Amino acid sequence: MNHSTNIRPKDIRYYLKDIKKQLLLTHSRKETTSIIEMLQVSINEFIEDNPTATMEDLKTHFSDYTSLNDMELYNIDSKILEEKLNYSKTIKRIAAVILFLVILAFIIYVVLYVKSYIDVQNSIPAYEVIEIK
Amino acid sequence: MNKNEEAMITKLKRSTTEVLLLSLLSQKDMYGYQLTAEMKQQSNGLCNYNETTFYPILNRLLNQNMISMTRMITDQQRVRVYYHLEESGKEYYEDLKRACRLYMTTIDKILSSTEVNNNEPFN
Repeated sequence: MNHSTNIRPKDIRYYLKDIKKQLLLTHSRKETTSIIEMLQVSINEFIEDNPTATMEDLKTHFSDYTSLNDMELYNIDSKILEEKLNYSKTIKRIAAVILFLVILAFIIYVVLYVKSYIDVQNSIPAYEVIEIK
Repeated sequence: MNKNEEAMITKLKRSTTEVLLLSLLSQKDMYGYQLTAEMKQQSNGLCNYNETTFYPILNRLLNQNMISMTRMITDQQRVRVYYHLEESGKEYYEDLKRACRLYMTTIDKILSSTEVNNNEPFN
């Protein structure tokens, strides 16, 4: 692949990263990886065919990630979208339960710590009576 | 084309991308850039898609074994990935085409009838 053009490999990486983020909203990780691979191949073809192309030309041809998402949300099977939304809800619920348990454990730890501190404080004699015979 | 027309075309484009892609692949095997170019040319610029929008659909069709993908080296020593419509894809395409035609004919009938009604003089 010849990158002696106006398009830097770094810019392509950023572009693909943006596309990947959007694809992950509507596709599984495996599907996203596969789509990104296809896109990468096509970008290479585009650069070979258009050696003087700029990053703007590339974005115009391949689309920016917002229009991709717009298109994808419409094309995606409603059942898949429902599954994704349910999955997202489940993840949020699990995260909420874990957060609750962590906070609860922290509170219990603090209570026990304070209690043990008080016990230790109480176990230390304030004064000692020494009987002199 | 005014803004309303453009918006309507965009909505129609979204729902017909898959059948149009299959239609192009039923003509001959094509690679990514060629699909975009052919789509634009055959529609006189009306179906001007960004290439990226094709890949999620192509990927789904690949997973469903409707199409296959072949790497080829051109005369200029360039690697091209060609997409080929498989037998199951051809059947699927025929189903989509029939449904599309039926729907478009119905829409056309309804739209034409409103034009006729509008032209009729009041009694």
